[in-house]
Amino acid sequence: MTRVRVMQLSALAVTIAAPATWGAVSADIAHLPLRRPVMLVGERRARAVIDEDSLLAAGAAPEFVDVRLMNAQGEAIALAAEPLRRMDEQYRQLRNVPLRWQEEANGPRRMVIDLGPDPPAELILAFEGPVANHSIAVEGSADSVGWSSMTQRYDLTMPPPKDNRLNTQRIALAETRRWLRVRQDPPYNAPTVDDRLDLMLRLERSTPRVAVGYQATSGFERSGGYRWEARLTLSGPARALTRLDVSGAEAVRSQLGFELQARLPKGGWQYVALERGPEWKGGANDSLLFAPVRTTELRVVVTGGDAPNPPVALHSLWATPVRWTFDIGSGDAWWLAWGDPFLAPAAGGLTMPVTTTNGADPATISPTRLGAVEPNPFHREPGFGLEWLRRRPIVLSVAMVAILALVAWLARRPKGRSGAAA
Amino acid sequence: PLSAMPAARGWGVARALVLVANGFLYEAALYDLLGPDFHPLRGVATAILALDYVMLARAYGARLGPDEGAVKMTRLTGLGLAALAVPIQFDLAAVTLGWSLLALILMHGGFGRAGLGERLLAYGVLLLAVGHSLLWDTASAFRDLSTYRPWFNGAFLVGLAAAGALGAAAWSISRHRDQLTSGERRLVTPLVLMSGVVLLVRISVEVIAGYELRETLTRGDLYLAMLLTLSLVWAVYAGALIAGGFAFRYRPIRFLGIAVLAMLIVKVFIFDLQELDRGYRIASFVGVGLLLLMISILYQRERKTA
Repeated sequence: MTRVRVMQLSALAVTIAAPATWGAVSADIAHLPLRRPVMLVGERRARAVIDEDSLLAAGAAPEFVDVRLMNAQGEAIALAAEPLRRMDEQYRQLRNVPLRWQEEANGPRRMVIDLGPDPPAELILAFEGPVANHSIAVEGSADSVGWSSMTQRYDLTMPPPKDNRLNTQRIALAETRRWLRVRQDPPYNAPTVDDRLDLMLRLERSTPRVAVGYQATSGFERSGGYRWEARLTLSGPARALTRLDVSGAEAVRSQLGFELQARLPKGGWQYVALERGPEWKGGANDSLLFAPVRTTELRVVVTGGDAPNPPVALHSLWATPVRWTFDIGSGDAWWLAWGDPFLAPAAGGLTMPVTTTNGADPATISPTRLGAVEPNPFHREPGFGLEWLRRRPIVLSVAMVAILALVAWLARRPKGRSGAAA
Repeated sequence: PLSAMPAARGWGVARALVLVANGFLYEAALYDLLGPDFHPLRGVATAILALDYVMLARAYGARLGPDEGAVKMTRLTGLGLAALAVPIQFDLAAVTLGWSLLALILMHGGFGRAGLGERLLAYGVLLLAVGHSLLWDTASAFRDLSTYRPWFNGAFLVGLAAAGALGAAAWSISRHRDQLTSGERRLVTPLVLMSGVVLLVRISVEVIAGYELRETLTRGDLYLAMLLTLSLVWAVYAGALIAGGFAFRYRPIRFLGIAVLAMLIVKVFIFDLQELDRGYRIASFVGVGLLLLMISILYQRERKTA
């Protein structure tokens, strides 16, 4: 009896006391063994942006879940992960157009806009007003005499906004002429003093690009023989690929079809949406632009080639770095810490994704440079060899199987003392 | 006092509840204390706790005898904790496999009237394994098709193991009928039928996931081919069940085969007739017709030999 009680109580005490002792060490920063200083480049502004580089890509956990920003005291600072994108969009007002409708009895009303002798290639018509229920079509003319339709008819219908705000509706023109004629079909609302029309320009600004080294193998498939395939294997860690520069022979390039697939981290392939294929407007060289995809291997399939000649030659492969932004505030020293693949994604807004730099004026954001790798002085190895065990999960699984086998063996009913058969 | 002989029946029940509650509340506290920083140790800690309880049961058993109430409850608590440790440490198919093996071990150790607790725990764990295979493992097949390998994946192979465990449990029960309660003796047929259903579901999942995967890779529409293949697979499976039922002279298996066949006929008339092109439709109806013909021949032959 005494021995059993002692065994029970000691097992209880050991199992409760051990985790209570370990529980004191749990801060994210203390888990991360490595860090690099973050240095502002140029003028100090309200926010700063950190770009991933190959060193970080090679060492950090997948999806960068273990990346944290810290200050000199070892405190974690909120770091906002930017969504991966190929380019930033900006909308800029070209000019405001006074609304001078020419109304016809029981017919559409029209308004002619002169864009001047050098009209922009693309344009956005932004209508703003308290009521937005009308049908709009746009015609264009080079001489204000012969008009051709430039858009289909758009039915712009939106409920009246609340709180005295105004509706804004935009129509994008993929091409323009000097003269534009906006046609509005009845029934339309009487113009108000709040109605206005702005001509806007949409600007694309590429996110940063870094050239990525790769090895390629290519050839036509054996059966059929019209699909040419190239596999591009990155020389380094996975990067967010977004552009592939190619050149094509003039004889075939107009008939080529492109398809991209990226290798998934666990194996298998996923299709990559091609945002723009080669148009060969500038001659033999052009690019495939696609939404950034983080991978170590890219498969390019080209159809319509003329075997056995390769339909295209592959040149540079480009990636866009993962970016993080943070408020500079009054701080003056920051480090980017990482290196624990088992760290859970940060909670409490430490890596909340926001689109802060998309459309933002670059003048408000300071670029940064990452310094040399150094040990994180706040790093503490978890006790009880947990770090070693976490890197070798098979040890725990084997131990678990062994313990359960022991449980099963001990739970056997002693022979000869089991209950008699019914 | 927990290990003393109970003076009254009420005290014995209360003591059993205290023993079980103590074990599982202690496990809950341990689980909470080890998270999140020490979560990798949760499974092993639970297994060690299970070991503690089973060792305690051995120690009690040496004094009071293995069939004493406190000893049995301590042992069962330890075994319950062992079953709980499996999903804490492992993931997906490994859980199904772990539970299936544990159920068989429990059942093997639980024969004899005094081992009813172990056997009830074994049935419960076996049901959990089957549920895990049918729900979680099936859902995981469709969660990430890019890494899925039809027919050669852990979920399918472990599903076969779960079906096998059900079959083995049924076989064990039929071999130890004299040691079991009357309710348990009636479990043989349900277990065999459940085994057949698990097998059918896992095979169907592999067929559907295989076509989903090919659709993803080729961007083609393979829905019709999938419907036809599923009909074919169900037909072959139903035929195999009926033939097996005749070969082993086991009626429930034949009935399961006929149920699969009925399901196939409903599917052929509701889905295949609407969805399939003429060629596929002809193939589907010819296949089902041939199968029905073969079954009727088998039944005729059986009637003549009877």
